[in-house]
Amino acid sequence: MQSIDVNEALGKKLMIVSLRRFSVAKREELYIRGLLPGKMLQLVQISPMGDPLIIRVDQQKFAMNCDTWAQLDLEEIPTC
Amino acid sequence: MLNNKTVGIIGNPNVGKTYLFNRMTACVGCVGNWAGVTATTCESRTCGEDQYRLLDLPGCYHLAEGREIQATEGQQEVASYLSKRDVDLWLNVLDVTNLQQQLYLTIQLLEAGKRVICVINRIDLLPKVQKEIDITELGKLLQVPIVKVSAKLGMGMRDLEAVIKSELTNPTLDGREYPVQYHQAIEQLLDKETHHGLTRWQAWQKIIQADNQPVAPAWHFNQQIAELRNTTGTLTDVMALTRTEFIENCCQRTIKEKGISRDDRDKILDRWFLHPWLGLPIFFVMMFTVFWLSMGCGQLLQGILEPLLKLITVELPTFICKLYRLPVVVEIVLVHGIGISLVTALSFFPVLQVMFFSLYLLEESGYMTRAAIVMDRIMRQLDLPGESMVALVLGLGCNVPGILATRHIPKKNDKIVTALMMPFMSCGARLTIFAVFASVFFPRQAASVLFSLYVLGISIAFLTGLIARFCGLTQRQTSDNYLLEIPGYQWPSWSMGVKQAYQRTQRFVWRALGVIVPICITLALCNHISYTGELLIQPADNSILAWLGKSLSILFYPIGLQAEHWPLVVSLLMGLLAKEVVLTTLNVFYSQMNTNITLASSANELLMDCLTEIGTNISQGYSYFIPSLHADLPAWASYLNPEHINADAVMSYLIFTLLYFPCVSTLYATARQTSWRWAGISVLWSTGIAYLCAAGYLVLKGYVTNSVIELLILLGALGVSYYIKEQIKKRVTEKLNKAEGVTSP
Repeated sequence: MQSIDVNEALGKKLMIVSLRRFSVAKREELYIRGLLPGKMLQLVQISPMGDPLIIRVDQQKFAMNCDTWAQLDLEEIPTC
Repeated sequence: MLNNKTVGIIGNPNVGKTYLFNRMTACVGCVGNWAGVTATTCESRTCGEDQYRLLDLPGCYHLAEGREIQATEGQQEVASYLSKRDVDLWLNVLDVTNLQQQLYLTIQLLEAGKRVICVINRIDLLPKVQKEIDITELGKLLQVPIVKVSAKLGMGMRDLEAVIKSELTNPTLDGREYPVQYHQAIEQLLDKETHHGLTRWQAWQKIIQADNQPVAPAWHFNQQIAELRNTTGTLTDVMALTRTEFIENCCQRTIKEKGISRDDRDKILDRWFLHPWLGLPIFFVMMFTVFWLSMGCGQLLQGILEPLLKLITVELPTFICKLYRLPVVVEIVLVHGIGISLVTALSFFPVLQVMFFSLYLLEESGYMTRAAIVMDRIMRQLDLPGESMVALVLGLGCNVPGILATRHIPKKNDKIVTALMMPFMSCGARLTIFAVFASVFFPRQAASVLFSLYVLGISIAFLTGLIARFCGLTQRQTSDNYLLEIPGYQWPSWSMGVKQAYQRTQRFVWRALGVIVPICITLALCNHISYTGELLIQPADNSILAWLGKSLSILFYPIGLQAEHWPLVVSLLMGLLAKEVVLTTLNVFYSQMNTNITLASSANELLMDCLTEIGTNISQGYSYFIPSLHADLPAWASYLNPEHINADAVMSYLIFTLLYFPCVSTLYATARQTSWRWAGISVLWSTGIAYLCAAGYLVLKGYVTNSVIELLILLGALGVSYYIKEQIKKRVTEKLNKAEGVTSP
């Protein structure tokens, strides 16, 4: 599974497939904050210096590093 | 009856645990604490008839299960309390605005077999966040008593007391089922372990530990568990996922969000604040506004407050001492010690008040998080978070609020490094010194001198950050450390802001007084006692301080000051108190004028003088809002002319003033935010670097080039600093290796 390029992903709705590439401790933390496999994730904005990224899961917005982004396994959801 | 019972308060960071603690123990005495930084556990007895022990634990998001080594300090402390059995009841404080994340800790507590009361705090915010919580339903789902309170406003405290009492006297827990049901195979595994006498919590710990071992436990070959592991990873994932799914389900059933979402407005605001091109300029404009407002309004208020303070604490006591012919020592201690220190510390009040208020507005409105995001990339060059840039920029106004603003920085080490960088951000008080000297010695290049001094200060600050990174004090902010929640924008509550700013300022000023008063008294005595032991009515050149200045001028020879410049040396010493004092000291010595002991004939006259001063300050108030480089030259400035002292020496004196130990208030703030040890290191580091830079400037300028001694001193200092750096590096690597050594098996 590959991560999706930031510029391509901007504004699109994506699905979190898995968080396998994170350490166990980090995975637990991500689950607690609501980033669960199967959830929808949207890359809302890219901040001034290109990093961090602003994402949204459910109603909550997060700022996330490009490194973290690169470790996420995401899947694009085709818009109907 | 409840005397031997203990109740612990637990919850995520910054949910108002300490507020609740203070509210419940109010009769016994409030344990003052900065919001969100309960570093260690506080303990006290509650008020009322039935007293019991109450513990305030540091906040933690969740407990590290089966991975004790990786646990943070807070987690370790909480875990140690959980494993001890002497806590009878836990109050799990939950913040109403973000329940979903916090319930994880609740689940962990319940699985650990603890008796828990969920305390939903900040219910006064419910209408604001447009939510409704069905607590009876939530209580049923979690099988715990739930109480809604607002610790800040004191709502619901009686209900809470009643529930605590009934829980302590007749517990309802025994025989309760655990709320979260795991996969069948895992439940079987857990049952097997609990049959051996372990609690569900301990069983989980054991399973997770076994799961992470390189040698696979027997149950890895159970078909169902192997399947689970295949799909989700480890059993920790299965556990966490089951819990979070349960929590989500709970929240969906009990929390109703009503009203319109503010997405559209947030989107527009974020588009500007996080704009690819305008984000940075907007950040600097915002920071400059805070800076300008707090300096302007603060100084305007200071103009009113300071003459009044002076009247009460300096002039009136002087008048009374003279009137009743009290001994000179009394006058010195009362006026020059206590009086001056009160004026120094309390004159910070308005500036801090306005600064805290503006910070509160930025924080509550939600801009602070955006600012941290905007600056994150730049500060990551130094491995520091974006918040430290906010603090550093504020430090340009006055170092004290800058250092106090480091409380927004989540990691302790980052906080320390930012505090170490802070003294090099040139504050407003230093600007006045530079302005006076620059307009006397470099009238034509005053602006460029000022500018280069600022740039020097900022570059040394960044150098400090780089060295800290090099020494391993700040760790690379890896992806693992950065997932920041972005709150929605909201209107801040003005009255709350004023109240909070007042409380923070008051706390700081009162505590700072404890440090400043003794130092001031010592300096005042040194200034008024001659080295032969006689009392001096006025500071003269045979006082201990002057003598000290003359003797110390040898030390300052490398930075261009000679014995005849001892007033400059003394002014540097007095500058330890506050940089504002530097010019006052020079005033006293150079003009040999009797400055603050102009004896008025009557109390009336004193009052009139004070009122006139306030009047002038108010009428000139607008000037505080207009930054200008041209300082009004004081009368004594003519004594400081190029005939008396070399311009290069003045420049190096200015460099030294810029970089050395900022002032006692900053020292106190640093100690408060970090520790006295780091405050000491900050003093040594800033003074050392100041000495090096000032001397280095002169050497470069060729002023004392043939002096081999200084070069040797310089080389020696460099050697020592290199040695210290190596030592620190060695220790840090040792520590890291040790930590790795423990984790790897």
